Amino acid sequence: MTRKLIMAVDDNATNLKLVRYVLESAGYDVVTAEDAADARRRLDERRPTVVLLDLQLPDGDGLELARRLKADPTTEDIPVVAVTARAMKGDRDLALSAGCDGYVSKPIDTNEFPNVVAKFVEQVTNKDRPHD
Amino acid sequence: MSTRVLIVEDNPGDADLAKEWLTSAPIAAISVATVDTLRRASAVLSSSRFDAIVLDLELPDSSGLQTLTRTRQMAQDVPIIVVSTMAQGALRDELLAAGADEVLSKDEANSWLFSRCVLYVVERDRTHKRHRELETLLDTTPDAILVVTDDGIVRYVNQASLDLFGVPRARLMGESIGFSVKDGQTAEIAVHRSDGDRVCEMHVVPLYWDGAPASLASIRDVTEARQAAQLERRAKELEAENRRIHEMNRLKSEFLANMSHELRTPLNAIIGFSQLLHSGKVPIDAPEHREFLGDVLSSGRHLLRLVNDVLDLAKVEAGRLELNPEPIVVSEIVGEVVAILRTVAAQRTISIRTELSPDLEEVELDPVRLTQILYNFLSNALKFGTVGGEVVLRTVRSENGRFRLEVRDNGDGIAPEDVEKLFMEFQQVGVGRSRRHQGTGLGLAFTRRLVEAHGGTVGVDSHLGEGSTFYATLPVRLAAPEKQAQQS
Repeated sequence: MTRKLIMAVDDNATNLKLVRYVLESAGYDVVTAEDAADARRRLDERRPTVVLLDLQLPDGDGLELARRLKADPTTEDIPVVAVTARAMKGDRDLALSAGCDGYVSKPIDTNEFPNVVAKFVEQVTNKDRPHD
Repeated sequence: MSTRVLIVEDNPGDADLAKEWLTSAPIAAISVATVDTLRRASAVLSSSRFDAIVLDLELPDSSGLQTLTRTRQMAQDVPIIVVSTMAQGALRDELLAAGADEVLSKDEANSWLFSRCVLYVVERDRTHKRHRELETLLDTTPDAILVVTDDGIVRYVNQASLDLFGVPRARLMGESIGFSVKDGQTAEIAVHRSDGDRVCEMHVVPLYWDGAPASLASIRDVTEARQAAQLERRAKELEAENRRIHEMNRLKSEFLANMSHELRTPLNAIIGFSQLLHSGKVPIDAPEHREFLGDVLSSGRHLLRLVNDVLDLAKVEAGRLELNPEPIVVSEIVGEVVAILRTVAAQRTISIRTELSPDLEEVELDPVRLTQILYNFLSNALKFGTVGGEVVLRTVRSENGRFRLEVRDNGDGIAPEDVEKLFMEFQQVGVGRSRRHQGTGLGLAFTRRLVEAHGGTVGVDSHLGEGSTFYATLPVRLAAPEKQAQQS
C-alpha cells in the first residue's frame, strides 16, 4: 500500500518539524509549506490526501487559502484541517465556515494527532472506493 | 386712493349739502354714498368698504344714541362722525364715549371746515391703526426690546421684556436698568429672575428717543439654546468616550487573542516534543532525540521572553516601573546590545554601524531600561531591514539637556496610515510579517512606555520603499532619581 501524502502549512518551522515527525512515524509522507503561495505551488506539483492548515500565515489569512481550495473544483475534495494556535471562542466556527473540514487547536496531542489525520484520510479513501 | 364716505341722513337737503361740502373739497378726493335709513346703511356697509361714516342720529328707523351704537356694531373699524343738533355738553361726551370719533353740530357740518374735519378723522383713525400694528409687532416679537436713555432710565419696554424680566411694566419703566448698555456691542448677560437666571444675548444700537440720545437694546433669551448646545456637546463627548471604550475593549480582546496565539505556538513545540520524547517514540540514540530537546529548550526560552514582555508592559501600564538611574558609558551599553544581536544580524546578513556623538560619552539613566530601548529599536530594525543591508544607530546631543537616539534601517518602510499605530499597545502593523518574526506586538509599545517613563518621546520617520528611522528623545540625566514612572 502506498503511503498517503499529507501537506502541512505553517509559518513556524519548529511546528512543521513536529508535525512531520509525528506523521512520518505514523506512516505518512509529509510535504510542508511555509506560506499560502508556497502551499499552492506544492499543491500543483503533487496532490495531497489531506491538508493541515495554520490559520495565521505570513502572506495572508489561512482562512482565505481554505476558501480558495474549497472553491477550486480540482481541490475541493481534499479535506482541509485547521491546525492552529487560534483557540479563542469562535475560532473553530470561523475555520469551519471558511470551508475547513476539521479543526485542531495547538498545542496538539502527539498521540491523538495521527488518529485525527487518519480519520480524514479514511474519508477520502472510502469515497474513492467504488460502491459494491 | 380716494377717501370713501357714507352719509346716513334722511333729510335730502342736508344729505345733498353734506355731499356737496365733501366732494368739492380741494385738498383730497372724496367719494360719497348716501343712504336715508339705518337699514340701508347696514346693507351698504356689509358690501362696501368706507373710510368714514357721517351719521345723523334721527332717522326714520332709529333715533338718538341708539343710532350710534347700532352703527358702531355694523362698522366696528370705521370712524363715525355724528352730526347732531344736540352736539353740545353732556350729550357730546356721551356720544364720544359710545364710540363716535367726532361730533359736529348741523351748523359746523354746514361749512368748508366739514370736509377737513372728516379727512382729519380718517387720518387719525389710520394713524391709530398703524400705531396698534406697530405695537402688536413689538409686543409679538420674541426678543425683549428696551429703550434706555443715556442716564440709564428705561423709556420703552415691549411685552417680551416683561416676560423676560418677570416684572410688571410699571416696575421697569422709569427705573434704572440693572446692567450696563453700551452701543455697538453684543454682550452676554445674565438676567436674574425668581425662577432662576436666564442667559441672554444682548445687541445694542444707539438711537434718539424723545429727542435725547438713548440706546435700543434687543435681548434674546438663549438659555434653552445654550443648554441644548451643552447637552449636545456632552452627548458627543459621551459618544466619543463610548467609542473609545469600545475600541479599547476591541483592542484588548484582540490582544488577548494574539497573546493566546503567541503562547500556544511555543507551547505546541514544548508539549509536542516533550510528549514524543517522554513516550519513548524517539529512540534515545537517534539524532532527533537531542535535536527535539533543543527545540523544547528554545521554545521554552521564547515563551519566557514573551511572558517577561507581557509582565514588563503590565508593570509600565500599572505605573509600577522603577527607574534606577546611574552613570552609563554610551559606547559600552551600545556595544553590549550590538553584541547580543550580532547573531541575528549575521543570520540576515545585515551589518550594524554605530555613529555615536562625541559630546555624549556618558548619560545618567536606568541601564536596564536603556538596554531594552536600544535592544527593541535595533532588533526591530534587524527584523524589518532588507537582507544584506545596513542598520545605523546614532546618538545626537540636542539642546536643553536631551539627546536623540536613532536607529535607521533600509527596509520597506511603513505605510503612512500605519505609522500612528506603530507605538500603540495591542496594535500590530502588517500582522503577517510580524508573525514571521515571532513578534508579540508589544516591543514598540513597550519601548514607547519606557521612553515616556524617562520623560522622553518616541517617533518614526518612514517612507514606503525608503526604510524607517525610529528615534527616542531622552534626557541626558534623569531628573528625579527614583520611581519617576509612578507619577505617570
